[in-house]
Amino acid sequence: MVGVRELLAVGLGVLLGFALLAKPKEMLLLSVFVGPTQRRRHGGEYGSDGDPFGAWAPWFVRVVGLACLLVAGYIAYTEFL
Amino acid sequence: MAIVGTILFAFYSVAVAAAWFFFGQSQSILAIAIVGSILLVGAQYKIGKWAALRSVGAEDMDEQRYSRIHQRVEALSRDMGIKKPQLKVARMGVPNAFAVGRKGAGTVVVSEELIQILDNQELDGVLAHELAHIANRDVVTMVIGQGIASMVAIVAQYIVLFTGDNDIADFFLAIVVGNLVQFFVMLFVLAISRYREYVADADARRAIGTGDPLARALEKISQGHQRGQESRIDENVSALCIFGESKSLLTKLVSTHPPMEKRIQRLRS
Repeated sequence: MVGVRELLAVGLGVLLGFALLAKPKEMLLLSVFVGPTQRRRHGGEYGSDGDPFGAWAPWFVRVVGLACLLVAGYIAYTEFL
Repeated sequence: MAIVGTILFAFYSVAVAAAWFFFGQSQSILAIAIVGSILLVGAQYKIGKWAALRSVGAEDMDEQRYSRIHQRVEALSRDMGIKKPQLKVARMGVPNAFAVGRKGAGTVVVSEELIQILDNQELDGVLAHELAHIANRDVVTMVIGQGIASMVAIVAQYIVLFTGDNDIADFFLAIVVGNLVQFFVMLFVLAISRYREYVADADARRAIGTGDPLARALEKISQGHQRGQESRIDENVSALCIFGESKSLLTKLVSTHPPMEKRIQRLRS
């Protein structure tokens, strides 16, 4: 019998994984680590957000997204198959 | 401000109530929640201010060299009913200005590039806008907002973790839920940030009597930015480069500032 938590772990994990892979920059901007107070002063011109992180950051987020999908896949494999 | 406070307090209350419900109805949970929150937000505020000034290499603005700016900030601060903030100048590589700190202990940093490209009236508009952020306690509000997003995420994460079987699925679910909850609260915090920009614009307009100088300043910066992008496109001649003003809904939702054209329109209306 598959539990609700396992289903949620797989479903939400896949959702987060795809979101991180597809929109890494936007997901990073939603993080508290790159919040409004930091973004006002980094890289951007007055009145804009600019680019508060280096070119490596979206790739790091994509790797995290891929890891999410792999863990969700592993849980799905062990629980459902 | 009441609306902003209510939204942030609602998220905070839900997190504390959930912690109270799931981890036992004891006074120690409340004490941990309140003391922990104050420590978290306090540390974020203190470290944030120090890091902000350090990261751009801000230096004290010379009173002789920038006497006009000092005089205008003093007059505008008096009009807005706040203590004159510390003024700092930095070489940021782009025209920019920002405010850190709280009412009574604020700091306004202006980039040399901004001083160079704006005329006196336009600079007044920008300074009035930054002073409005300090007068309206926007910096503190944003730090509290980010702190609440962190707290709600931590509580959600721990609830999932401690109510499960401690297997890999629970551990993973806790991390995923924590992140998704944080993203959700941050959407509200960013919406508040955009709203506070409009309020600061309106206050700046009231302080200097007209919104036109700030609108001109925004236009000038925005046009310079567009020219920079066009020249970069010319240099690269790449069909894969996607520039332009058309922003997706998600991009708008994660922005700290409202669209420049809307701000300009409101300032001139």
